[in-house]
Amino acid sequence: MRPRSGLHRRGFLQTMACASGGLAIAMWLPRARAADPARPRAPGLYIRIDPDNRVTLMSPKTEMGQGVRTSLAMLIAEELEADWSQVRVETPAYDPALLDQGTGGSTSVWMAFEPLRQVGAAMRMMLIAAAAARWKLPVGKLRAENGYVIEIGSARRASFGELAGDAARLPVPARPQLKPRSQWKLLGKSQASKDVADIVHGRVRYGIDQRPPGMLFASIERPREFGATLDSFDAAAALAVPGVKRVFAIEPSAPSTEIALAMGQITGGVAVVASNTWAALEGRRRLTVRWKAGPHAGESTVAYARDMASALDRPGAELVHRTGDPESLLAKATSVLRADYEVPFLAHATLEPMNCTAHWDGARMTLWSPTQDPDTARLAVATRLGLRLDQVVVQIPLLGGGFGRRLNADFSVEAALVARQLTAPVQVMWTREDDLGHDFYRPCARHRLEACLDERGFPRAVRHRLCDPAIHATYEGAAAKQLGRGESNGIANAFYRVPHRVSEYSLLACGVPRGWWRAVHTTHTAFALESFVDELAVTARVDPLAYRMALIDAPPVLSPPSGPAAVFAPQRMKDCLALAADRAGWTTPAPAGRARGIACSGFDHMSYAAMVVEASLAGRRVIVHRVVCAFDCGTVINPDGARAQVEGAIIQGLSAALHERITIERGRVVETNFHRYTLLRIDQAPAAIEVHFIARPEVAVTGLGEPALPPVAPALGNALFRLTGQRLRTLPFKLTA
Amino acid sequence: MIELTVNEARVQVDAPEEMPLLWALRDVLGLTGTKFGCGVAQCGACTVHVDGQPRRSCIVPVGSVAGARVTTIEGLAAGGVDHPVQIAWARLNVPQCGYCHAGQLMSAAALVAELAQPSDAQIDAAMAGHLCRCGTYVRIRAAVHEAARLVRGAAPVERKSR
Repeated sequence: MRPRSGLHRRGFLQTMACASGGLAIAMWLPRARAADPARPRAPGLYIRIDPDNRVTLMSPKTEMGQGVRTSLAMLIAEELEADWSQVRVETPAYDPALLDQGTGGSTSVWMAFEPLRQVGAAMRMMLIAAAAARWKLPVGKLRAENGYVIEIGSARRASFGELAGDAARLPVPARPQLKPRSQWKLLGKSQASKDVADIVHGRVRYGIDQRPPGMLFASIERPREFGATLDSFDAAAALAVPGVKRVFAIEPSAPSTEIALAMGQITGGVAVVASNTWAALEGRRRLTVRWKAGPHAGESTVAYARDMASALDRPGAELVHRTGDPESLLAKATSVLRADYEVPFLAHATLEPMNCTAHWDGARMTLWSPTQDPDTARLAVATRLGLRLDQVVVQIPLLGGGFGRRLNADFSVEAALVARQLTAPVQVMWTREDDLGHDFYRPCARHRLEACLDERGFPRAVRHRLCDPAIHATYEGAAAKQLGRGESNGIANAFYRVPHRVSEYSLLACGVPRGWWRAVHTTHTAFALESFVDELAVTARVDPLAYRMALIDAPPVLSPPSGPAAVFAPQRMKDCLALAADRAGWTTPAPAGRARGIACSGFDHMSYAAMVVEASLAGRRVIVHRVVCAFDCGTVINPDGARAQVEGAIIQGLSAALHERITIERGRVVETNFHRYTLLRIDQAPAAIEVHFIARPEVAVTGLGEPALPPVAPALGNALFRLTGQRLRTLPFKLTA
Repeated sequence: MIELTVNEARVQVDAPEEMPLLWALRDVLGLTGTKFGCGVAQCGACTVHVDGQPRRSCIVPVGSVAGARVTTIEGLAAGGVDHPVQIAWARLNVPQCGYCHAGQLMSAAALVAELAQPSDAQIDAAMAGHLCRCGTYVRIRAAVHEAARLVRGAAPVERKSR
């Protein structure tokens, strides 16, 4: 997740009466960032109670399948004592007064856990106070339950809806009293998703389903080659297609390291606007377009691979970390273990392709953007179009998958640029070819690890070199400082004790745009590290579980931790490893024909995960039978939803381990659709995924969505080594005969 | 003008014959429950029933289904009664983002109509045309088993306490 500015400080709570006669409670969180001239006076709205006792909760994070509309609403509802079965949830439009609506980095529950419970508790206390005043009783004689305030020991009760008007006139408690965990009725217990009924009936309207009245449909012909620009085009045949209305050029973004422009960087191209999708696509097919080659025309995966390999033969341009004197020890060692690990570019491949709907009414730009970051979308659109921030409104439909792709503002900027040329609303829809060809990819990477061992077989000195096209260079330019520190996260600060260690980084120059792909750097650093640790264990003839347990220790700290939760706790990782191994039957023989591999996640998004994969082979086909994962994120809000997140991360990790690869030839992506960019399908999903959470109520809630992804590939690779004797160091795995 | 039946209603679609049924449903008829994912029948998101059989509507020209009976996700709960696959999917909290599930449900419905007690392998074979990027496959298998039980009239499986 890209670093976000500002800590959130204590906020203020306010109430306001709704037009419907109900009550709304809002919380204002001052943002530690530059003054926002568009910040509204009214605080951000979180709860609406209608006179008929209908409670609507606002979930300020955007929903992409991770279940935040359910889990964040649970946080409010628990304290409020709403009737959960009747609660409705809305995703509010972008509102700078709300809790940061940027969604990603496995931060939603962590960020919302305290503030949203406070909002619910404050409202509950005010409703109780209103009833106490009405019945002339002390508040201690009353309690709230399931949408009602009840006089204890009596049948007398009043609904929240009846009390809301009175409650609105009361002062807001400055320090709302939160329930002790022992009294939780919702939190920590599995709840059904608030969206599942709409999903199974086809009622959900994703970004691509938005239909403001009079909406037109647009498709943009883009250059396939990165960095190519429009030379000329002929629209005559396109305009002859029935339904096609307009054809015009969209300018690409000028290179910029200004974050708003960089996050909204677009390829440009030729937009075809029509009365339906098919006409727009047909019109686009009939365009004649000439492109001018750009600076990346000759780039290829073959060339990148060669350049990364040769970069690793030299000391890295950036020293990320050094302890002791590993170079001398490695030079003098009688035996050095050395291994290179390579991974390709990966596409996000959200099943709903990129899209955004926009309407310019002459004064205001309204977006319906399925975005993970509405704040940046608004800023990028305003900046590119020369609008004030208060002229841009961002509505946020549900996302058909995010995985980090929809943090970028490119699809929002494109739609705004097209809409600016029209008076009607317009939806820019990307084809799958557009989507696979113009992603912000997980970078390709090559790691080199070299180690010499002590007399017990444990690492004495390790040199690590990484070469990749750093994510941040896409936004901050190649001259950005300390690119290697971010890219090496998980390996430069690995928590395995090594007395002498160095980690170096070199930037690969590359025209392919990069971005944040679920779990980000640890998707490749954990693959390299957890495979290499296994190789060392094999060399030392020590069981890989015991080897790791002996080495897990406090890691080098590359940046000051943001708080106690960001300090690695070795025992928590050891407990995850032990639990995963125990549940997987690690010390018992695997069933005939199968082998097991074990791996830890890096210290990923402040959580801990360890995994055992049990696999077999049918010829060269890998069969994953079972994945056992132990996961520690402190507190689990919705156990079934949390389990689903881990299951999904494991499937995505398997997909990357076995299938996914974006290759570049002549400066363009080769894999045009899902017949070439293959994803894991149901017939390769394990028969069993077993998830075990370790509960730690005394620590902070930490990240859930990402940490279970990185251990999958190395755990599987470690199992495949045991099955075949082949050590696979390149993803996706390809067994030779 | 192309005439067909969609979700039990006779409709007239004013569209070129070669327009894929997917876009006729979404843009001409306003039924956005059927989804676009790839346009080349690789992901299954566009699956509908044509005369009871699952088809990838992104590659079915609307002209070719003149006179046919089409059922989309919006029509799966016939007469307002949830289909067993919808009940099972909700009971097991199968979807995450949910985008692929209209197509998944249509294929699953056809499967449980055809096979009373599908095995894991039969489920995998029938559902392998569907991509789920969120990774809900293990729950899909379990939900198809549950739906098949509901169709057979068997009691629902007691869910393990969580």
